[in-house]
Amino acid sequence: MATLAPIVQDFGKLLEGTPPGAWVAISADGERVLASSSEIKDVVRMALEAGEDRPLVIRVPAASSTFVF
Amino acid sequence: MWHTVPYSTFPCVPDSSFPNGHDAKRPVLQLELINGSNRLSCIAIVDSGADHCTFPLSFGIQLGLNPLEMKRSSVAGLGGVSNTLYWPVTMEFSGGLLQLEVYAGFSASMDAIGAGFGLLGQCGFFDRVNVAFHHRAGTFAIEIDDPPK
Repeated sequence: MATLAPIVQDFGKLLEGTPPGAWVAISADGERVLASSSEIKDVVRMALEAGEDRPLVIRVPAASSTFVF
Repeated sequence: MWHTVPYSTFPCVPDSSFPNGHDAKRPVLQLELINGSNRLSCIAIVDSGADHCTFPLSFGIQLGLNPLEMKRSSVAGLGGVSNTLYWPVTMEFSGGLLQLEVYAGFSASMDAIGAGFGLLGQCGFFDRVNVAFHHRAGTFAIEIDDPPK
């Protein structure tokens, strides 16, 4: 059955070691960080070059990572 | 039909208030934002406190939106009041299981605070689906209308 759940549930584990504040592109299976950069357009481009045409794009939490909107 | 989704876990770095850091549990959905032939796969928090569906402005730029053509509105949050730019886009969930046309906000302030995700708010999301939160069980649920038979 189709699911609405994200391909990643534990973002802390996947993003471990990636630079704080960076944009990252995640593989469609949710297993790997394909690219990281300070610019969103660069991670999308690098993921496309790596053969991933629909990467999940998120940002690594920086110094302040607790949000209240 | 109801669809159960587990909460996602995000790391929060240590600071003086939380010297050991902590994990934040957030009700997150994955979706594709669509503007014409441009798509961006991202995540968004199901946020009953948001009036509108809102995303970082960088998402809009990546989708090919032109800030000079977008409609502007003042939006207040904990960080103060900022301008948010609005444009109609499509939100597609789970490969088309749910597709919503939405007049979405795109906010440079979200980029400034380091938010790399969107917010699914009252207008455009909560007014289209039913939502139930079961935080203690670690899940939330979305009810989507069954397709016509």
